[in-house]
Amino acid sequence: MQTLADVVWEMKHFSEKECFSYKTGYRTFRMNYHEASLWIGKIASFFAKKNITQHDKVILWGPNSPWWSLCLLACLREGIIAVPIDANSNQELVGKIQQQVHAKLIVRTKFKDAGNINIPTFFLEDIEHELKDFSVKKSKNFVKPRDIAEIVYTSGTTGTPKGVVLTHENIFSNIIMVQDHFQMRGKTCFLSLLPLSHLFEQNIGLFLPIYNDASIVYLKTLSNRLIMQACATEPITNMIVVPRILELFKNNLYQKIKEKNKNPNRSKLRGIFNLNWEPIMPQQAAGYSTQLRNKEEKFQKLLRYARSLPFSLRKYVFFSLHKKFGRHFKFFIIGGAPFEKDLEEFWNTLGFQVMQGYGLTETSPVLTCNVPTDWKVGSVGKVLDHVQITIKNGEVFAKGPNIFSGYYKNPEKTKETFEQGWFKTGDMGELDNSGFLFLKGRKKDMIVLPDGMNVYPEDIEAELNKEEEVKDSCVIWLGKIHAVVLLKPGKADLNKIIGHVNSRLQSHQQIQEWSTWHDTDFPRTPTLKIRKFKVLEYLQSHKTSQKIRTTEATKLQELIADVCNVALVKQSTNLVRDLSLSSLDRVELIGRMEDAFGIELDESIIDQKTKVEDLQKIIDTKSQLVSKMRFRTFVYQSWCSALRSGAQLILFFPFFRIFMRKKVIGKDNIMDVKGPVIFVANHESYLDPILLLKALPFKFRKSIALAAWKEFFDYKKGRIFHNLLKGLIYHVSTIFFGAYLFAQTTGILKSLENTGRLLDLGESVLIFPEGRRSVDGKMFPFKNGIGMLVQEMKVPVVPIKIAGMYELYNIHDRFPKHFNYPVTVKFGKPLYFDSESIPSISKKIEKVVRGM
Amino acid sequence: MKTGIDLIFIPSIAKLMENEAALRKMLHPSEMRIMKAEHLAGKIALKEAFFKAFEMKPRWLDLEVKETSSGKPKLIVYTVLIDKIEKMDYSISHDGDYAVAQVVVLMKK
Repeated sequence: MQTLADVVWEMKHFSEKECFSYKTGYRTFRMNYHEASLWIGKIASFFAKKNITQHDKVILWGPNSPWWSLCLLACLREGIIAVPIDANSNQELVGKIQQQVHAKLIVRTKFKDAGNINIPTFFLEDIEHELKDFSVKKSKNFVKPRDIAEIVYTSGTTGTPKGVVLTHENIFSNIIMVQDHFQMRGKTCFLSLLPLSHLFEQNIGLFLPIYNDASIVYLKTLSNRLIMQACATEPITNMIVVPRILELFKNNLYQKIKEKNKNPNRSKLRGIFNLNWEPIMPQQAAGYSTQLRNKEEKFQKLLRYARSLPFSLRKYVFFSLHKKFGRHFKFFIIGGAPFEKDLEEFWNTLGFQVMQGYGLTETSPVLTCNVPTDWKVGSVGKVLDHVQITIKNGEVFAKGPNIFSGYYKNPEKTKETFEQGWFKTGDMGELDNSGFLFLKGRKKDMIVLPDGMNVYPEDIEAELNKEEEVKDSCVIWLGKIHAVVLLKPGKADLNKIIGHVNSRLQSHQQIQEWSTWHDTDFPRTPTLKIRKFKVLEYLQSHKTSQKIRTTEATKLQELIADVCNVALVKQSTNLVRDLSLSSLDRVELIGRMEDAFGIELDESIIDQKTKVEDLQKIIDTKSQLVSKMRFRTFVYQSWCSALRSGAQLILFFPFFRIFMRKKVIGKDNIMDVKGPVIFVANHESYLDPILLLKALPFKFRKSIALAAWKEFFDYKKGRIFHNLLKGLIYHVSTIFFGAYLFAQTTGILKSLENTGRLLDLGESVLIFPEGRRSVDGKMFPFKNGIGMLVQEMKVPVVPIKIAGMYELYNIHDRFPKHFNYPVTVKFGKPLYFDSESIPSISKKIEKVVRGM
Repeated sequence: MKTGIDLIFIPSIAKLMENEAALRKMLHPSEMRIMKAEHLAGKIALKEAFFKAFEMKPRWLDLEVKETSSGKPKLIVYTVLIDKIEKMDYSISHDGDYAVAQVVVLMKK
């Protein structure tokens, strides 16, 4: 093997092993190595058909997904030059890059307005549908190590992007070096959080796993809900992160500890994966209660205690936190931006290994890396084999097969970055005796004082960020050492904070000027580094003194402020009158709230009178209700389904045989159907599920879940007997009939999520879409929920018609009226739906069932 | 007889396009086959005009806008409202940054 193309060709040998999984919110789609290489073949043939040959260029522009990765791999296999662009980039940047590279095709997401970019377009979301039956042609291209693999546009902290030209040899050599350095062992599964347009994620998070037959998990959105779901259901061993992600996790953790004090009933660590800045409750900003302080002190005590323990024991102290990351989790891989020592020590104290690495896009990308067997806190690790590093005047110089050859169409810039064959990284650092590299900050950011003293802004920022009230900070040179501070909501005295910090800083590091940042966050690069030049630009144009903002915003308030583009909303703000929320804004707000809080909301909750506090109330009551809808995992484990089958066969079926004599029609229609399906039936009687279970062939009966009406089981205050009975029914129906709760009002999203989980487990689902039993022997119209379910789950639907049950035992009867009564069950042909509207799906299914 | 009209600023739809969850609250997958801001704006404007004609709260997914070969869209109503409508006609247009739609409805007596 010499090129990335060879790596891609090798993939098919891992055949049945899982390659990608993709969590879309409700379902998890899986693809093994065999299927993946088949898809790569299809995409490559598609490129060939579009007349894209070796050395042509293809732009990739979209969020992470298996389809993005497959397109990149197809390009690499065929020797097509890939130009990955960050999903958050705007159309102007894409246009600028296109002017440089003249790509023949752009593969992009649908959910982005491309304006007037005039390149043939192919949508990532359409690949599966459009290339399903595409014939694979034999590839004739032969890729050589010196061929260009990718042109990666760096989104560094400085101005216009430059294209870094990387050859197959560059990237491939780096994979091999990292592989030798790391020695991955055992089953490995990566969770992809960073953008794939970044070489760090590509190399460690895509090429390395594929080289090692490991699996990769992609998420459709980076919401707290999905990350938590992924950690709970997938055997994740590694996450590739940037320091700010760990900082956010840390802040969320502290937030949850505070919240737990206030409301001990709530699960304390829910929300730890929130990638938005933490909400601060007004009560907390106003001041801590004594009890609150106690809990926090307890946590601090625990941290101190853990520090005295050996590393391997610490995870037992914080087992509940480790549980959130799943029991397979091994370690974080961190890079992309400077990692503060305090933060690293914090995670180490919690018993997490955080492996820091260092590199640049220009070095494709890894130069040095810590490994679990050999690491030092505060260092970026030892130099990889075959890479040479020297320190000249404090700056890190590198040489090796992974160093790029030059910037695209930019010979002057290329010349600037090389010195006698050495690549100038622009980073300051030093090597210790055992070969570990310690970084001292980027040369460009380094402030050289008039008296020749060097000041590293990172040092000052680290001190500033230690202050409780400081959210983040940015130190720049404005003729004086100037600190821009982003304060946490609350009344904080910036002058006092600066006084504190200055007392800890050395004399040449003293902050001489300061201001607060005007926005909710600093402008950031995709790897969440602060774009310092933008901060600088802003400050130079607004050289007036700024006021300290004192807001006490909850997460909801921040969200509303963001949607409406205002600085501040109060609890008493009226959404329509005060914020002039348009109907489009309303939909956007509802969509964002659903994503953030994991509950479904109807637009009609916002009307002329709605205030922010009303929304908060709705969210609180709804989330409380939804949190009670637990998923009983054990019910669908093999021992329990064996118990279920046995009990049904021995106990239930013989007993109910007394009442009914079944006749089954159309069994042939379903015998050939593979995999989980959704069974849809009309509902005449309480005994319908038992009849259907009896009628179903064993291959479906052994793995089927019944959607049970959630509101039926709701707790009613003061009715002890009622609650006991409902509780008993709940246990019997879940354990012996595989029932799960399906809500008709509050909790629809959660119900869909649970249904998706069941289908992923291979369980079919039986549902009565009328939502209630017939009152006169005729069918009620089907609810739209069934259309939504079918559209989201993407599995075939089997219609079932029941007849005769109404006469036997209907909604008006206390007991079945007949013995040995003849009833019929008719199975229809499976129905397949593809991107149709929700009501039309419901209507079609209803029509089929009616006509049976 | 009822009438409704709606004007939409197309760049605001371009912004909304990045929020898939919100978009899916307003449009069916069948309506998202062509993902161009001006197309989506036209469809959303037509639905909004319909709600205005009936003076009702928006229930976006009760309506579906289909493209036809003639270029004139076809509006399908999935609610019971359809039984009250004798005749209905509508039109969409867009130019530059704006899309506009109008609905005229003749009610049953």
